[in-house]
Amino acid sequence: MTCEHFAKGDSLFHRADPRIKILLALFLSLEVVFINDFFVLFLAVLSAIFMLCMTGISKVLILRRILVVNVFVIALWLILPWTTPGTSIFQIGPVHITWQGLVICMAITLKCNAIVMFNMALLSTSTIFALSHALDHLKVPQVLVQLFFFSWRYLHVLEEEYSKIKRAALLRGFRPKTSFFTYKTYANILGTLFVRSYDRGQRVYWAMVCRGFNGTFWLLSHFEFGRTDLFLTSAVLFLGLCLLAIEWSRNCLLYN
Amino acid sequence: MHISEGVLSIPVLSAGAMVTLAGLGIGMRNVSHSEIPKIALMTAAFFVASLVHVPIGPSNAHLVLNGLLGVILGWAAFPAIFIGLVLQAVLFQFGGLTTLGINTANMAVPGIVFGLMARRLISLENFNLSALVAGIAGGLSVLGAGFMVAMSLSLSGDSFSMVAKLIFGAHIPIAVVEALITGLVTRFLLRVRPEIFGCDLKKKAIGSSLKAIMLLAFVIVILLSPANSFAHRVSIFAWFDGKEIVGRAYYSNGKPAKGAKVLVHNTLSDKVITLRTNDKGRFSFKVRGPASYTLELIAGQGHRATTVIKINDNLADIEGGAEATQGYDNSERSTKGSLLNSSHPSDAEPAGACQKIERVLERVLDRQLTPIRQEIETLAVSQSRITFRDIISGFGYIIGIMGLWGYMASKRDK
Repeated sequence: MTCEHFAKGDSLFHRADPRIKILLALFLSLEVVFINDFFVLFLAVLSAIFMLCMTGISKVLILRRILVVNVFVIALWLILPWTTPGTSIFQIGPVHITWQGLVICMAITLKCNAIVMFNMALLSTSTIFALSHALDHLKVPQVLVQLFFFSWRYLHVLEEEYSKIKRAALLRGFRPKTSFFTYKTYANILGTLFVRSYDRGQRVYWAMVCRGFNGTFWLLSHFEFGRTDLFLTSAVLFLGLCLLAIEWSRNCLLYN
Repeated sequence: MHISEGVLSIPVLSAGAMVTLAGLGIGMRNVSHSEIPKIALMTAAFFVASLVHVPIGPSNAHLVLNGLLGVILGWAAFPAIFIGLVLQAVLFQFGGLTTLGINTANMAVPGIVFGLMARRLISLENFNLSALVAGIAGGLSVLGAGFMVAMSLSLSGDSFSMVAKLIFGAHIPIAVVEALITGLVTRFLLRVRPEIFGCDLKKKAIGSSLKAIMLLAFVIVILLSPANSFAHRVSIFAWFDGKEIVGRAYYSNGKPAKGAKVLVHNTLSDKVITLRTNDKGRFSFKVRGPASYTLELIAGQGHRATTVIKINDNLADIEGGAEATQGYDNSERSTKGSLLNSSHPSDAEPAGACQKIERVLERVLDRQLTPIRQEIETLAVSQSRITFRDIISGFGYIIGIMGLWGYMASKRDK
């Protein structure tokens, strides 16, 4: 399982300090949730696309990821336009498509895609290791950071383990169907997986205790807030403030 | 089921974030540093397990396993689910930063509530019973998660109520599979590595099998009771139209009660007239004379409703107060109206022009009042129909009570 596709590369976003990137991602996500104006949302999506282009990640990969994320949004497009009460625009059989429904769908699509693309550019360009390191520096409780880091560390190991057991089952002629036998087999596979990971967790802990683990992860390397980071921070903050300002001014125009 | 970014309203998002913060606080207090590798590995295992696609009929679904996580980890399931979702958000962009709180709460709260309950009843004494209890907890956790997702959607805006219903419906088959898998995995783990459940299973008051059965029965009764009582409330609505008493019988979901029995008692005689409603739930009968008529609807399974119509000498007071005997809200409505009734031979005074005018008037009034009567009738039907919100709030009460119980149980554990 290779999940960190996007972390490879060398761009402004890859080089920047992960602490800053986490904070900026939070800032932009929250801001997009609060924005309601279509024009501003559209601008946000455009700037997110621009940021993604700057990361230099393969376009095919990005598009595939965004398509998957939009499955839920597409489902909403199929349902919301005719279930939302409001003024109907046109009619297909007994079904009224309402203007309000379309507006809600469009807002959701823009918001969702803007946030996803901002997060792709800012968070997915760091390795999980760098992110947990940064979370520790950001004073997130150690227990949480350690859980996060360890879960990630062993994800691949367990994934491999699972595919091994699954392969063994398939080699013995197991064909998944809707039957009690299938569910029982899956349950046994999962049970084996849990037993093995439990045992491995025990061994990992003893190994750590042998090396003097007392519950603290000492941070030996520290991040430096360099010139790149300053540039990225100010650019993103400027973008965010601009979006807010446009939203605010358009609101004022509408009400006057 | 994750809810994407940008869908939910800000109050819902912040409520979810608060619940998750509280849950994380409790969860992390219960984790000592010696347990971190174990919990982390279990989190990773659950992450992998949630990528497993299990066939259900023609399609397939991925497992959620929030119930099993609650059974195995207890309160520590909160941080575990949180971290699983953070990893998904960063790696696959499913969910996201702003929806992290609500998504975690939706999955973790039912998982932990039902998991903690099941944990108290799992023992090495009886594998099958333990598996059954855990399985029920697993199924209920998925249903609970589906319900909470539906609720967060419908609280975010009226337009989402249909989506919410569809999503809750989609969780039902998954819950069945999930219950099976959770039960079977629990059975496997009890046989192979019971330490995973973290508490000494043998020392438990093991006469608990009786307790377990009682709890099981309790849960099943609670689950079935809203469905039952919501489905079969009946109402009757009737009026006097000058010659006949006409009316309609319908269930609380607005469907007509077909072929139901209507008993008519009156104050004139002891004779009871028995009527049957037609395919549209309608019935009618000729009025013999001025009296008070009591209509009693019997729709089977002991569900009945009554209404009283008084007909005076030349005035017909219509009291259409249907009362459901189920004793929920007796939505009181009485429509009082008076209709001219000249068809009685007793008040036929001077014949001729006067009578003619009366007859014409009657016809005109009848024509004009019919739509109003029908309107009142549909209004009555729609008022007594149980809405999605009522069901949601019913489930809410159940989950609230169970949550309280789970909380007390966890207190007792310490």
